[in-house]
Amino acid sequence: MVSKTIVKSNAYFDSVTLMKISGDISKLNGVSEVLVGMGTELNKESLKHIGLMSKEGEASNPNDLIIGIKAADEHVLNVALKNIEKLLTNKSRKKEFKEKSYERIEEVVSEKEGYNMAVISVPGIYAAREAKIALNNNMHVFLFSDNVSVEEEIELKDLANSKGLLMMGPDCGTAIINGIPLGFANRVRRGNIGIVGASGTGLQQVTTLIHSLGAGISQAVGTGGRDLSLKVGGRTMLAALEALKEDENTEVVVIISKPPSEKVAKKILKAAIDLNKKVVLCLLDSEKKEGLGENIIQCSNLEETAIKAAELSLNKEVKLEASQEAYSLIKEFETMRKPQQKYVRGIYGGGTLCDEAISIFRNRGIKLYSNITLENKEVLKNIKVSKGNTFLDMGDDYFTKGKPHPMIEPSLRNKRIIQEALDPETAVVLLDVVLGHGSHEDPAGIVAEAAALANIRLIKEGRKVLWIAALIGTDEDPQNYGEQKEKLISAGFIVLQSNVEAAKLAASLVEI
Amino acid sequence: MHLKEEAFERMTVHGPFEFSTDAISLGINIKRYLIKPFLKKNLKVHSVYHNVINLESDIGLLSLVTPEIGRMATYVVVSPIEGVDFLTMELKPESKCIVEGNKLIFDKKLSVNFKAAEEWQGILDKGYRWKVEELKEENISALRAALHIYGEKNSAYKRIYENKEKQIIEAVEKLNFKNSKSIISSAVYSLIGLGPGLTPTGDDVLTGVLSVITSCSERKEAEKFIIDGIYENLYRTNYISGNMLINSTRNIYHQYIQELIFAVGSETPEKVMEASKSLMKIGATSGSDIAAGIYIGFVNVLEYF
Repeated sequence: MVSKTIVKSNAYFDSVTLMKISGDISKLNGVSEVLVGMGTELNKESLKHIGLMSKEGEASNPNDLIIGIKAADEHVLNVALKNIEKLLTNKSRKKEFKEKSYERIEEVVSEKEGYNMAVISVPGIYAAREAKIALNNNMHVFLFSDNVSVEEEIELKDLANSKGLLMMGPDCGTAIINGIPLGFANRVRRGNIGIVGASGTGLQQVTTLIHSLGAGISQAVGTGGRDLSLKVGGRTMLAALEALKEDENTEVVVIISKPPSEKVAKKILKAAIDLNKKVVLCLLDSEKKEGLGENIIQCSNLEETAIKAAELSLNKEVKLEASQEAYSLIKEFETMRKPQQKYVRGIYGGGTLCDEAISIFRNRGIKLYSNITLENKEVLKNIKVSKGNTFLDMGDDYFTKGKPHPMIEPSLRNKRIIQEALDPETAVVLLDVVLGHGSHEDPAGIVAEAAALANIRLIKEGRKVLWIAALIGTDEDPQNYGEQKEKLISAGFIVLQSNVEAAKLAASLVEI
Repeated sequence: MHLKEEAFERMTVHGPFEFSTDAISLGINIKRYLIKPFLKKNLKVHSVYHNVINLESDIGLLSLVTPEIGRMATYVVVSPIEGVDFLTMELKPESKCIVEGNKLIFDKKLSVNFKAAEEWQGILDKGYRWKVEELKEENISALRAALHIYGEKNSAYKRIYENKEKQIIEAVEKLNFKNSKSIISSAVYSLIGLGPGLTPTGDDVLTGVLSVITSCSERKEAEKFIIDGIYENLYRTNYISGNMLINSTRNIYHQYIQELIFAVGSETPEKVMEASKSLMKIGATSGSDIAAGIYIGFVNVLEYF
């Protein structure tokens, strides 16, 4: 075993790029540990944890790039280093040939007029500063970074509002602006539905379903997860609704949110009524409210929201395609099902999708456990071991500390997927596979691999589990929806476009 | 060559080189060839790609490769030169490669020092042979799953599975090890040179099948039929692919093929999956086609015994 840790001073790359590179390199044969990241405290801690910390690494700062690798031999180490260089160079080359590279936002503005959007993904301590510079230079901001204080968030949003700009984020995962996907977003048809939402995967689910139903998106604005809190007061949501009101291409407006506080809800509802456009209001997991405006339809899940929006947009009834494989796979499973196979294990990468599945089970009175539930009785005490019906959000901090998010590196879920499938009490393994920009290039392949390996073991033991996947994406996504679906089917999955459908199907198999 | 010309040639190679690098590893066959002090080495450039220089030699095709290509008994793996690939060096096919001490020298263009290079031998090169009685069906299932999941869209396995190409399907059926010499020979005839690419699909499939047979601890009659068929039909394929097939008949395989054979023969489904993925990354469909051949080979073995 050989190892090497390199520090490159003042070589900044955004965290998504570096997480992707770490993920790619970790798959090379003979590479046992790899960390490619900026010299943040978290990365330094992870470097220490995997035994790759060096003197230079200790002295690095968030502007320095750290590369740490542990490999089987010198050859593998060289291959890995060369690949890292290549991947980093590709990023720079892209800039060299297709885009121009600037050191500072101000340089862009001073050189040429017309740049009006800044996508910012820098360590949290610098995020607010950069966002402020962008706003002061009259740019809308998509702030992917987190670790920005509430006070800074409010300041940024007030500054944006005073200048008539949109401040998406902090911790904003998804947006589609003028047809361009930002962050984790899918390629969808342009159309007359404008969306504003606080949840990244929620936006992805709704925009992709709308696309599948034949309608299209004018704009999809992410607000960041804290926007509808009492303190922030829905500042971005309100600004986005105002923008959608003015947008001639938007005829239907969709609002996606968890139920906000009464005070914030009132403001949002008033803005929604004032839009004078058809509105689909999705308050996730909430009871239908009385007395909403005439222009407002309330929905309680993402699938219903997408269908209602598409119907309003196309002025006709629409429905999602049914799974072709479901019937025969369920029948086959039921014939082999053992009496102790009683539970569903949901292994999610998208937090909102995990929440949505939990709601479906909870609303049907099915007992469950989770690492993200707010209900005390549902808390999974030992996160490493599932119990009964368990729903895990593997994008949660517990699983991602020092590691890429499972949407970037889905193989991090595989061990757990296999563990759950092999549990004699598991009847159904339910999971999400999210396509689109920012996501892994072959998420379905990675998941199918885990399922295939588990199936081999299960067959040996004369058992079978039912595999259900919600495949979130479109036929225009870079991963190729059709091929991704085929991979899942080849591993025995029932593949559904909607997470709600997937969770409902899973629930129907454990309901007593 | 006149003495004068030879002296001139020697003089020229000592001049400054446009590019120089070190070899990281020397495959066992190429090492044995290079270190023989009194053996005259006739090495000339056959073809050049971004990461590969193929050399014609007295012992067949040898290659200079960058690390990402992997390793093989006939490869010299060299440290990459930053910002440069082999194509940019403008090495001409037919130009000579001279062995000077511990260096491979290509005109004034490139010098490769192999003094500190480690020797490389794959698991098959070291003598590993899988045993029929130890073969686990679950490992073959893992290989099939890997082909489904990671196999290239237009690869042989996908075309066979989707019932898309009659010629491959028929040839593969005929490759059944229980068949007579004439049937197996006709399968080899159909496969050699079949398909586009530097190494045609049919050649890749045959390579995969052969890697299973030649690495088995027991000899099978079919092995001879296939090898005879290959030598009789080499004219049907190109020089590079023909060399791959000749290497296969001599049990000389790329690192990733050796690792997959070992994984299926003696490891776990997880290792099979990993080794399959590495192999299937080779070329456009070549890796997937070789993996398909390995799968066909192992399935045939199971049926045969």
